Order: sequence, then C-alpha cells, then structure tokens
Amino acid sequence: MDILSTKYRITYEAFSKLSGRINKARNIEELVLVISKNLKYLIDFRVFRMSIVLDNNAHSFSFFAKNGSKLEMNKLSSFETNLLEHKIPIRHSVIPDKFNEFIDTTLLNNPVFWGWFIERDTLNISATILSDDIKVFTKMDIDIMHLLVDSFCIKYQQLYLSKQLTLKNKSLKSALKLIEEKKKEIEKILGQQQNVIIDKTKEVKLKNTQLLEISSINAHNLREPLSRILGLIEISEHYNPDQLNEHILKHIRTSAIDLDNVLKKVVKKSEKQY
Amino acid sequence: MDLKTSNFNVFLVDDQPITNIVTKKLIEVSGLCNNVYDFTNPKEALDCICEHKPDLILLDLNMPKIDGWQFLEQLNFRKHKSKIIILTSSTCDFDKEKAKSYFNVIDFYVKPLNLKSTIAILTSLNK
Repeated sequence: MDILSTKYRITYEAFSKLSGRINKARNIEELVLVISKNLKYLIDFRVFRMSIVLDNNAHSFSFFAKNGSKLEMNKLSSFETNLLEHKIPIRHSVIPDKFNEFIDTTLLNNPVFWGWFIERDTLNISATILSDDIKVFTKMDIDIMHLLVDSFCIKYQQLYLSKQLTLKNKSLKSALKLIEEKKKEIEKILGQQQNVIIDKTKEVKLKNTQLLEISSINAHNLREPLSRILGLIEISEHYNPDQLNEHILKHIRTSAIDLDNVLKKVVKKSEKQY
Repeated sequence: MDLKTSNFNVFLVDDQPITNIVTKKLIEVSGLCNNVYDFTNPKEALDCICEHKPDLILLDLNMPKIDGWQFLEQLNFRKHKSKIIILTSSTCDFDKEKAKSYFNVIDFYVKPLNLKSTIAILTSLNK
C-alpha cells in the first residue's frame, strides 16, 4: 500500500504541474504541445486519443508515447462513433485499424485497447488508449486519465471559442471596413451626381438665357420696322392726300424693305441653328 | 379736360429717324408741346441735356453704340432730373422689368404711340 500511495502522490503532483501548464496555454498549439510532452509522466500508453464533439464537429487529438501528436477534424473512427452512441466502455485485445496510422501495431506485445465515453457539460468525448506489456495502462490509471481529459477539454473549449470569437471579430471588422468603403464610394458618387446636376442646371440656365436673348432680339428687330409702318399709318390721317407720298408712303416703303430684310435674316439664322 | 400747350422740353432719342418723325407728328397733332428735340444719336442727346434740361425723354432701348440702358446709366451719373419714358419696339417683359429698376423711368410704352397715348403722356407731365 505504501508503494501505491507513493505512486498516487507522485502522479498527482505530476498532474497538478501539468494542470498548471495547461491553464497557461495561450493557444491550441501550445495546449497540444504541453500534453504531448508531459502525458508520459502521468500514464503509460502507446497511443492516447481524444475526440471531442463541439459545434457539430469532431475534433480528434492523438498523442504518441514517443512524443508527437496528430490533430484531425471530422475523422471519427467507427469505434468512436459506437462509443459516443452507446456509451459502453471498451477493453479489448483486438486493435482497431485506425491505430495503424500512428504506430506499427504488429510490434506491440499483447496490445490492449481501452475506450470510454465521457460527458462534460455540453461536450461529448470519446477517450481511447492503446497500451501493451511494455507500456502498461491499468485500471488504477483511469481516474487520472479522466482528470486529464477534463482539464484538457475544458481548456480546449475555452481556446476554441476564443479563437472563433477572434475570427468573428475579424470578419466583423472587415465587414465594417467594407461598409465604410462602400459608404465613401456612395458619398463620392452622390457628390459627383450633385456636381453633374449643378453643371447641367448651369448649362440649362445659360441656354435659357441665350434663348431668351435670341427671342428678345428677334422680337425687337422684327417689331422695329413694323412699328414704324404702324406709326406711319397712325399719323397718315393728319396729312393731306397730296402730302402722303412724301411724308408717309416713302417711309412705309423704306420700313417695309427693312422688315423684309430682318425676316430674311431671322429665317436664315434659325436654319443655321437647327 | 382742358388741354393747353405747355413749355415742356421733350427729347426724342431713337436711332430710327422715321420713328422720331412719327412721334414728333403725334406730339404736334396733340398740340400739347412745341419744344420737341429729336436725336438719332444718343451721345448728342446726352450732350444737349444740360443746355435744354428736358422735362421728358422718350427713349428707345435698342440703339447702336449707346443703347437705352447705357444712356440711362450715363444720365444717372449726371444726376439729371428728366423723367424718362421708354419707347421701344420690344414687347419683351424682361426689358419692362429691367426698366422698372431705374428710378427716373416713369413709364414703358411699346411702339408705335398713337394720339391717345401721346396725349396721356403729355398731360401726365402737367400734374
């Protein structure tokens, strides 16, 4: 019993150190590295694998006795699917093919495959261990393994969520930037439109003034000789018939010719304009 | 209405001599004024203002060299108190509006005058 209690004490001391390092991990890469380096001081194993179902995705972590680790997304093996579904612990000598991806299982002495379903808050976890006569995993290690899975998964969830938040923040920021850019673009377009409107208004005003001038000139030029003729007719009654030729008709003739000339000019000008 | 010949001095300023003939004849027929001076050159009219101090100037707008508006500007400059009636062949409202902005312009007529309007103008000066 003394040996056993000494073993427990050493194990829990190692775990409390590891737990501190886990807490200090600043990102997922650091977290995985901490486990990968220190797991062998807690338990004996060939391969230790955890698959966490989070946000409808399966996040799998495999750790190897000779250091090293492998991360996989949505690559649950059939034994894990079974574990997550039926929740029945496994202890078997038949080793799933999956482990051949990590280690040459033919070289192991009496390999044993262990598996547990673990539920933590909203997380469903499959934890599996491959051990053999050299790296012996025993029932006594199950408690410490649970503790390890707990602290790893809680930390992983925290880091994963903060990563998601950072990503969301980034995409929000880029969306904001895009909105800002579009806003500027719209403002620019509006400004240009405003300028176009101002320019066009100026142009129309100018044309209106020009048209007004032309019509005023035409009206004046046309009416000028005509008003003379009307005036001459107005005063004609105040002359004797023998005075009419000299005082009236002569001037009417001049004015009529002037009127005719102006008319011809106006017609010519308007032909030029259109 | 008692119509009497007055000692008005009236200037006719129009580059068209025929127009001046018509207006002059109408004034003569009205018998209301004997002192009518007609000018086809506005410059000459401006020069004679100090001498004759016309009570009334019948002013055309459209004239070469010095037009009616320039005439008005130069007249204002001399601070002369002649009353002005614009007599133009233009029926343009724009000219009519513009004419209103001159203090000494008292009326605006479209050519030609007839005897009735001539009498109206001359009797209004009597008041």
